[in-house]
Amino acid sequence: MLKVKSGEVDKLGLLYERYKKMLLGFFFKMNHDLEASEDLVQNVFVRILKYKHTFTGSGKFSTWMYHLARNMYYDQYRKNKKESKNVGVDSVSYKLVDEDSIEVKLDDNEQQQQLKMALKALPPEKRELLILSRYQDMKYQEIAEVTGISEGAVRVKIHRTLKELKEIYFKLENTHHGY
Amino acid sequence: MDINKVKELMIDYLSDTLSSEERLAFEKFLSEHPSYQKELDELSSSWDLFGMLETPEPSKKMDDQFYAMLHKNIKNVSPKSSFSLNSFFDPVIAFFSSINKQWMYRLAMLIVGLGLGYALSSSEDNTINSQMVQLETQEVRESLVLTLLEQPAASKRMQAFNETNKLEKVNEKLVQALLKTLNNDENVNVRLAAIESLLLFADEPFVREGLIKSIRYQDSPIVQVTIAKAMVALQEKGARKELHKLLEKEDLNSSVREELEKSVKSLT
Repeated sequence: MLKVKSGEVDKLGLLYERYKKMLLGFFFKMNHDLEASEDLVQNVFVRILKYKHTFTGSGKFSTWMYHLARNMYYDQYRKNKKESKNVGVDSVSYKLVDEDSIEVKLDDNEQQQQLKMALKALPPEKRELLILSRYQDMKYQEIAEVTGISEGAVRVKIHRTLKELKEIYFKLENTHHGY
Repeated sequence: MDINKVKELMIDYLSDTLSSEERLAFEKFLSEHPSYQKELDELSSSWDLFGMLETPEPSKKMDDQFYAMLHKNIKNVSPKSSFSLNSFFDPVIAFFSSINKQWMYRLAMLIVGLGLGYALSSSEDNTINSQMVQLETQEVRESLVLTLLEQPAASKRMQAFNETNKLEKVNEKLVQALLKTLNNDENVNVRLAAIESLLLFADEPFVREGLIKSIRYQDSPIVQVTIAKAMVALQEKGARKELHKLLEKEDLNSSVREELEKSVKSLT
């Protein structure tokens, strides 16, 4: 990354190859929208180029990158939330029914689908902790750095969120079998 | 022990970040506190459940977009061709707006005409631009391949072939680098992948020639057989001499010998 910073912009290709799948996985697990996730990955790299001068080299590159990625995700999350507010409650609830119960279920197996729905029901701040710790190959200290909470708190929150996830998951399962 | 500390340890335990002593100590603690053990078991099933989430593969479209973006930034082109239409006409409009309606109408038609012309010519520019972007993407990818091939980690060198496979054509410099890898790389998988990549461009004579020449440098049985089979597939009769030379080696693996003899036969 320091090479990119000093002007060897083509070295960004190496960083991209190294992190594209992980980043895509992060966004996809957060929003379950492949196309939007790919756009977000692209935007992260645009921002890396734009803000390369702010990378000091004192911390790890991946920590800095996830910092940008999170900001990006939350920017869009807030924007979508605003838009969906404008659309009104009725159409949103229709949309949820469509997306969650029919369309995606055809592609995915039931378990995946249920897991995705359970994840969706978690607030993004909690969802992200689970994803960062389980899939992004990050140490708790790095997660603490990226999210701005203490290392101990990260673990305790993950603990709580895992319990919550399971509760939601089984609640969904019961509702589903209750039909 | 503090309840939060126990929770933290559980998470460390699940994510396998404890040292072996810490792990043993925690397991001992759990055996003395069955309620915590039960809690950990539940957490563990939730942790496993969450671990089943699928991870998508990045699409080619995403790669293309990235490299197009990278190109634009490398060349720092952004020519000033896109001057603002509005700012150009603003003073003109301001001047004529004081004149009568008929004039305004004529002026509007003129602007429409000019706008149309501008749009048409810029659409031509766009095709040229997109061709340029493609060309630049090719260049960046080539330099990426060259950099990747020099990486110390074999997995990185393997990535070079993924990139090579996305190229539409290759130049001699790149082929030389691929052949160098094929002849000198210490990792068999990397050498095999190099053959595969080179075969994609086997309609170029210099690629075929390079492949033939590299036969003599191969000492791994699987690489020897793969390359011989490739020669048969290409019906490259020029390879016979090199294959014969290989057959003269005394320490040649017997099944490789069999395979090579078959190959030579089908090339005659």
